[in-house]
Formats: sequence, structure tokens, C-alpha cells
Amino acid sequence: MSFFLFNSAIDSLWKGKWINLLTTLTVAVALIIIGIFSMLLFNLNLALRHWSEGFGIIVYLKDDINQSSIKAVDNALTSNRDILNVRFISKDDALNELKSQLGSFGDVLSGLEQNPLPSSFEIKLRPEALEPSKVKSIALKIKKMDGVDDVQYGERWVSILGSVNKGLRALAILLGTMIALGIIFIIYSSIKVLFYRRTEEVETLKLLGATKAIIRGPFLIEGGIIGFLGGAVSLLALRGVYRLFSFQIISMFPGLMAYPVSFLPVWSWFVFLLSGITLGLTGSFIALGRIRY
Amino acid sequence: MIQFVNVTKSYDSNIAIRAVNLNIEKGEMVFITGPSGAGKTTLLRLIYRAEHPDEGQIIVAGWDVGKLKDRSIPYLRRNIGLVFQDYRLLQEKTVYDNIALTLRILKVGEGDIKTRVSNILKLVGIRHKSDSLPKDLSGGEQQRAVIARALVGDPTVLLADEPTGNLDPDTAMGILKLFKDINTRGTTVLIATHNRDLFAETGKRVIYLRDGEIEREALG
Repeated sequence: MSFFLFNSAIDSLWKGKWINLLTTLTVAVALIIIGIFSMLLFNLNLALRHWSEGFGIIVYLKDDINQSSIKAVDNALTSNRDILNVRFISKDDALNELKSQLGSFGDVLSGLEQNPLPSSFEIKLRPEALEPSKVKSIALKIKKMDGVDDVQYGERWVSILGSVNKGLRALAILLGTMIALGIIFIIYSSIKVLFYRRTEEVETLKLLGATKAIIRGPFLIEGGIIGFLGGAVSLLALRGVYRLFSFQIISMFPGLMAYPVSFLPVWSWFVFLLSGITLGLTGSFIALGRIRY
Repeated sequence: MIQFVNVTKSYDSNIAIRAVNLNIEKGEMVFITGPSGAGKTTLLRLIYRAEHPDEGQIIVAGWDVGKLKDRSIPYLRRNIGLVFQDYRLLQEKTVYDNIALTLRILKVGEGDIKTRVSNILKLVGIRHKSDSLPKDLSGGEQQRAVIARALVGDPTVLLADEPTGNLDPDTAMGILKLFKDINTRGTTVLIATHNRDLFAETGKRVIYLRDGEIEREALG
């Protein structure tokens, strides 16, 4: 990029400093809204992952199952990519666990002549696999295995989790698109005003033999800088909001937020700045329209 | 250097240039004159492709102007220096920066720009005004700055549209002398003017336009 184009952009940014400052702040406010929503989604996702760690499928085995069939089921489960870990619970283990859960009432079980509990596998799924349809298909597949008697899991819970995830994702796309369009429009208006203000200069440049790239260059750089500054200001503001309110949020929703609210991950800061630049460039590009000689 | 073959240009139903044939040789200095509305400005605008001819062919410095694609127009204009009656200097830039703009477009280095702008300002006689803003210059000085801007890129052709229209007679003669000097250095100069005093006794070729047609040619 030539120094001349960059210099022209800086010069113009300075000359139109008030309109540019206003545009930068408006872009920042819009990005802050996206940021707060992203932070909310990010933390909800963390919370859902945390909760999903406790979600499991219990595979009850038939009473007459032999060791080689147990081994076969174990192998089939362990090799499934959607399954995070598999724990075998023998009939004896199940009885002992029940006894310890019953505590002082555990003696009621000592009268049993035969252990009525089946051996089982306890499965934890990967968080990505926690979609209602997927969990259902995994459960059905397991149920069809030789030696498997029954499969149980929290079908209703998985369904709610799936709906919440889908809803949030749809809302994020809708809100993100609307705000992104808003930012493009804001920068479009600002650059259009600057372009009209510099019509005389643009006409002179054309007469002196400036190519379209030379004419567009400073405006695009200007839009990019406004977008970048908007992104940077919004990140700083978000960080401030986070510091001020994160502890209050925890105290407001102690049950919901069992652990500290997280700020956006570092990689998303770059996404923020890059989005600002991209939206700025897009707004400027549309504002400039077609340049004719 | 500049060739018009049967060129016609009209705006809606008004014919501005009618079947004009014209040939201007390299290094010539030519005046175009005629009453208002004769087609002087349109003729110049056709040369630097601000207008597209309806009919005919225009060749400028080897470029077939009528067939030029939009993206090639800047490269044609880099061969043509333009001088206007209303100067068209950028008011927020100094004289130096106004002139340097031509070279910055050509991607000349800042060191070279400094030397070339200084030399051209000396040629047009306003080196002491280098750091002034256009509003602080007289009409004659502004026109000299515009001529400097038009010349600094070493164009092969210099087009001037009523260059002395806003100047008093003495200043106008000073500008004319400058054009003669530029022409002596080898640049083809084409001046559109209705001021007959400007070309009187110059011994240069004068083309008289009327109603978009070449009425006659003579020597000034």
C-alpha cells in the first residue's frame, strides 16, 4: 500500500474527525451489543458443557450374558467416536453401590438370596454428540447389540438442551446479521458524506490521471480504520463491563453460574477486530459505488 | 499528436461538434477560438476523454480515445496536462502539495518529487509561494500553480481552457509568455480562448470554431 494513499486517509480522518469519532463510537456500541451477546452465549455454552459432563447413558446387560459378549459390547462402545468414556459396572459393583447409597438402610439388601441387579455400562458422550437425534440413534444402535437388555438416558433433558442450543444459535445469527448490516449502513453513510465533501478533490484526481484504486484507496483505508477502532473500543469497553459486572452476575444467579463468568477467549478478540475492519471496508466499498471518468 | 477524423458530438438534440477534421502536430502551439457555445470546451473535453465522441475517430499521443476502456482513461490523462479558467486547485493543500499530487499519482518517490516541484515552481516563477495555500495567491499566481501542476508530470500535450479568463490583461500576457516557453521546450500546447488579444501577433495557428464546425484557420 502506498504511503500516499495511507497519508491521504489519515489526513481525511483528521479533517472529518468529529463525524469519524461519532461513527467509530456508533460502530463500537453496535459491536459491544454483539460482544455482550457473544459473552452470554460463550458462558452459557460453558455452563451447558459443564452440565453435560454429568449426562450419561446406562446400558443394562442381560442376566445370562457371558464374558465374551460383555467384552464385545465393551469394544463396540469404546470404538464409538461419539462416546467419551465407558465404565463397566458388574452385578456385584451395582449392589455395593446401592448399599452405599442406602447407607444405614443397606441391611435390607442382605436378605436377598440372589443379586437382582443387572451388570451395566455407564457411558459419557462427547458434548458435540449431545443432540437429541444423535443421542437417540446412539441409544438405538446400542440397544440392538447382542447381550444388551435395555438402554436408559434422560431423553427429555437432551431434547431441552438441543432446543436451547438451536434457539441460541438462531438468535445469534439473526442478531449478528442485523447488527452487522447496521454497522455497514453506519459506515456507508459516513463515507458517503466524506466522499461528497471531497467531490472536488476526487474530480481533480480523475483529471490528473488517478486510477480507480488510487481514488478509492484512501476511503477504503478510512473505513477499515474506523471499523478497526470501533472493534478496539468495543473490546476495551467489554473488558470494563466484564470487570465491573461479572461478580455481580454470579451473586445474582448463584445457581446458574456455579463458577466464574469468563471473558471472551483471546482468538475472538482478533475476530472482533477483523470483523470491524471487514465491515468498515464493506461499508466504504458500497458507499463509493461505481467511479466513472 | 492530436488527430480528429470526422468527429461529431451532441448533447441530446444539440450538436456541439459537427464532423470536425483536425490535425495538430507534435510540438505545435495552437489556439482554438470562437464565440461562446462554438464547441471549444467540448473539443478539449473530447481530447482528454471527459466526453465520448458520437461519431468519428480521435487519436491523442497514439491512443484511440473513442475506443478507450474506462480503466485506461487515467493512463491517457497522464499524457495530458490540463489548465482551467477556474484553476481547480485543492484549497486545503499548499501549492507544493497541489503540484506534488500529480507526481504522487505517478508513484514518484518523495525525494524526486521535492526536486521536480521545486524546478517547476522556478519555471513558472512562484517558487517563493511553495508553502502558501491557494487562497493566499493572486489569480495570476494561482494560474501559474495550475500550469505547474499540469506540467510537472512531463505531459506530451498541454490543454488550456480559457486560461486567462479570470486575469487582467497584463497577467494574461505573462501567462501567454509562459505557454510559449513551455511550447519552446517541446510540449504541444492547445489553448481554447475567446480572447483575441491572446493570440494576436503570436504567429501561431488559430482555429476558428462556429456552431461546432471549423469555420477557418489562420495564423495569429
